[in-house]
Amino acid sequence: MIRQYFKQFKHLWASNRVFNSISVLATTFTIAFVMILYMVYSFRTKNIAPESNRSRVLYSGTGYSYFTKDHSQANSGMSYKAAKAIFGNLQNAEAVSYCVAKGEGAAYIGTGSSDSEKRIVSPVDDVYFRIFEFDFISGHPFTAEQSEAARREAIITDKIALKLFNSTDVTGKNILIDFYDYRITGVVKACSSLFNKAYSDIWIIAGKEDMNGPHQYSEGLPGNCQAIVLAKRNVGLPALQKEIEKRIELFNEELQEFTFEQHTVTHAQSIFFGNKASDPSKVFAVLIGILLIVPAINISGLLSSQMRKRNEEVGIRKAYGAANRQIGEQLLFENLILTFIGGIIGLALSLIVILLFKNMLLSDLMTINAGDAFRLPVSLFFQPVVFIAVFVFCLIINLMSAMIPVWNVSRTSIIDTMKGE
Amino acid sequence: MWKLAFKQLWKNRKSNYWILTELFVVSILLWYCVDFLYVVVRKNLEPMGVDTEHVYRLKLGANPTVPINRSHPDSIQAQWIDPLLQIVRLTEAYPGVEAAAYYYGTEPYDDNWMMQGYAVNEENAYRGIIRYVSGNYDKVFKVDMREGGFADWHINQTPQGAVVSEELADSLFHSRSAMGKTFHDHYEPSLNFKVSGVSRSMKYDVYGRYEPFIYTPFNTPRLAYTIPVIGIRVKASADTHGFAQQFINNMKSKLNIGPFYLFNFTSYDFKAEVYDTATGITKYISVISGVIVFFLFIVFLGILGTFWFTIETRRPEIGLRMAVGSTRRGVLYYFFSESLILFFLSFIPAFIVCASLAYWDVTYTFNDAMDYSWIRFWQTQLFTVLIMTGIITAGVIAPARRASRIHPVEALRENG
Repeated sequence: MIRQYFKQFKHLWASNRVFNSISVLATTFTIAFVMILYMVYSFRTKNIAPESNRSRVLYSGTGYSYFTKDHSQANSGMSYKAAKAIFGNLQNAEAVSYCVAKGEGAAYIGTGSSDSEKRIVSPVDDVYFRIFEFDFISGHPFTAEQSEAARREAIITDKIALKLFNSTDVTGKNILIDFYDYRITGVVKACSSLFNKAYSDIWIIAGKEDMNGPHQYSEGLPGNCQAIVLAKRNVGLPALQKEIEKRIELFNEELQEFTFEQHTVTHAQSIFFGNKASDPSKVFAVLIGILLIVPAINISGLLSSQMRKRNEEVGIRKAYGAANRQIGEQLLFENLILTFIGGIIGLALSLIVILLFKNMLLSDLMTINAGDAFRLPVSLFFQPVVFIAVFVFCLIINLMSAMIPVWNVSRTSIIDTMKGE
Repeated sequence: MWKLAFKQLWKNRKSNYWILTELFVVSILLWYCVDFLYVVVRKNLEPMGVDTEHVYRLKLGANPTVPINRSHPDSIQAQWIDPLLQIVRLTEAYPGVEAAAYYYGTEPYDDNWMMQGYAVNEENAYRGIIRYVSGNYDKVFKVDMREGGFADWHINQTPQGAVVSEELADSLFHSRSAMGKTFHDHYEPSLNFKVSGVSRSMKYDVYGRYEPFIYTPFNTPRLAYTIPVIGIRVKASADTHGFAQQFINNMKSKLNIGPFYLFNFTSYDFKAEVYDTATGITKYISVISGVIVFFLFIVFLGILGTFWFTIETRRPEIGLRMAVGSTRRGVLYYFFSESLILFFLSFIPAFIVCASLAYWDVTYTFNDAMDYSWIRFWQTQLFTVLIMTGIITAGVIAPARRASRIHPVEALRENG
């Protein structure tokens, strides 16, 4: 049967070149566009090392405190003390890392003043390396003891190690960070700045006191601490967010004259729409839906006019005993082949566009600051989920575009079909 | 011809439903996209109040291991302020540099705002976005002045000079003309200011709104505890692609004066690019532009396909039309008019939907950068119609030309 369908299809392609070309072109363009959007969202939100826990992580916001009575003495930022009170011992959290809110994260790095230049430095704790999964070439992640002692110790990337020391075997050597000597305790494989939360050139230990602002101001609320919270495996992020909100309420009840505001965001929220969308995946789904509907209407219209040309063929087949279902299946299959041809070309086109316009589509503050570290690992494009997505989108286009015209043709009576009505 | 085309469309209405639906949906969606880009263009045409083209930003760092004796004004002057001023002089003397200034506070393309409340009397305080600047600031940023300027202001004495933007002048004095008038810091009433100039409206980035700004002198006490940013205006002829890197290469060691060192040197154009990327506008513009191209291409294919098949089934009619004297050009125009009627038939309900959406404020403006108005609605509708008409005309060209080339005898014979 399938062979018969293919034969029929070959014949149809030759007899309807214009329709087939338009249909394939429309599908190509649609799949390319939809896949670009899908890949932009997927590359940024899927769990991929070193950001292997994107789906389970919440990031604290900047934090904001003010004098409750008249909203004066407003300050942005969160102290380590406030963060610990809010995020410490959360029931739904597996781990909480307290880091310095990175911002631009720039520091002056080198082995002396001649080779020193601006690099990205992240002050973190030991838990950070449980949330982000780095590939250690030598040394080890910060231990709890190191984190507690807050000595001048650093983990650097192999790229920095090679640039400054011509070797990756540099554990135990010293590096200058903002003119102070730090001892290197680990070397990790550098990652792409596409992983903007994990990306850094160097990691140092965040001093707890350094994350607190002056104690005498605003009840010690302002500071430069950021909490990264990893949810337990069986807990959803909304439940964790609710627990944190409850904690913030309790925390505010204990404050005397000040109010503290803090909003956590998911990984996807932190990446798309400037934290404004409650669920960026829904915005993407709606956008993809719109992009699928318009060409589907288009193909439906063209298919309907094509079907009228084939009324006689359908009528004859029906007269010889073909069931409505068989006819429907055949027409859907024919359209599906066209859709898949368009889908494959569309996927190739989307890959080319992503590679050519990656700065326009995927860049952010980190990719710009990190300069040449912004690259797209090949493995991103060869995830099974990318191919499954193309397949699913093709099926959706096929069903949306062909269902009504095929339904109409297969339901028309033999007499009407033969009469061409 | 129009009446006939309309009749024909009505007769074939069943086969035109799909294309009508498509044009209806796309007209609405395209209007949203056009509206977004309309705001982008309008915001880009709006003056920022300062000119950052050919301006570079020198960020200094201070080596914490170099001791500074802050217990005496003379040592602060010698160890901190003098090295800073020397660096400013050196940068000013760099080949190709037109002017250099140092400043602190709210910078262009930066949302780290520094704000303060200002008042004329005790009743009302008004927010002002602060820029502490040296006297040359207006030469570097070419501040768009309404009256007065930076040259006449008092530094290190009370009342301090201040240049306020029109918005702040309006709030404080209920007039945009405020030369010589005085006001004070709301939280520190002894800190008095005298208006030495009023600037035109100011915004800190292209897509922001006009905000109340205040420029006050970067006085010595403030300079003693801050590392200012140094802005450098470069002559247009000297502002080549590699200027920043060349500056870093030539000046990195020379600017190691006192505790200071060259931390970063970039253009404000780059800072604008970084800022736009951080706010997401760059990505939005590329996605929306892509969506517009996508819709137009799909409409183009839809019109092309629909008319191609229509003409195939209407060959005898076209043949007859030509047999009774219709010219090729006439046939061509006939199909153009038929396609445009099709568009306007779908556009009427689309327009009603758009007008309702605008009326009920179901519109989107990036970061509320611009007020919604009916003028904006009409202009964006007009652009939508023009774009749709253009693409529909482009789509119908090939089928219409094909129709105009039909030989009447052959077409009529096919029918026979």
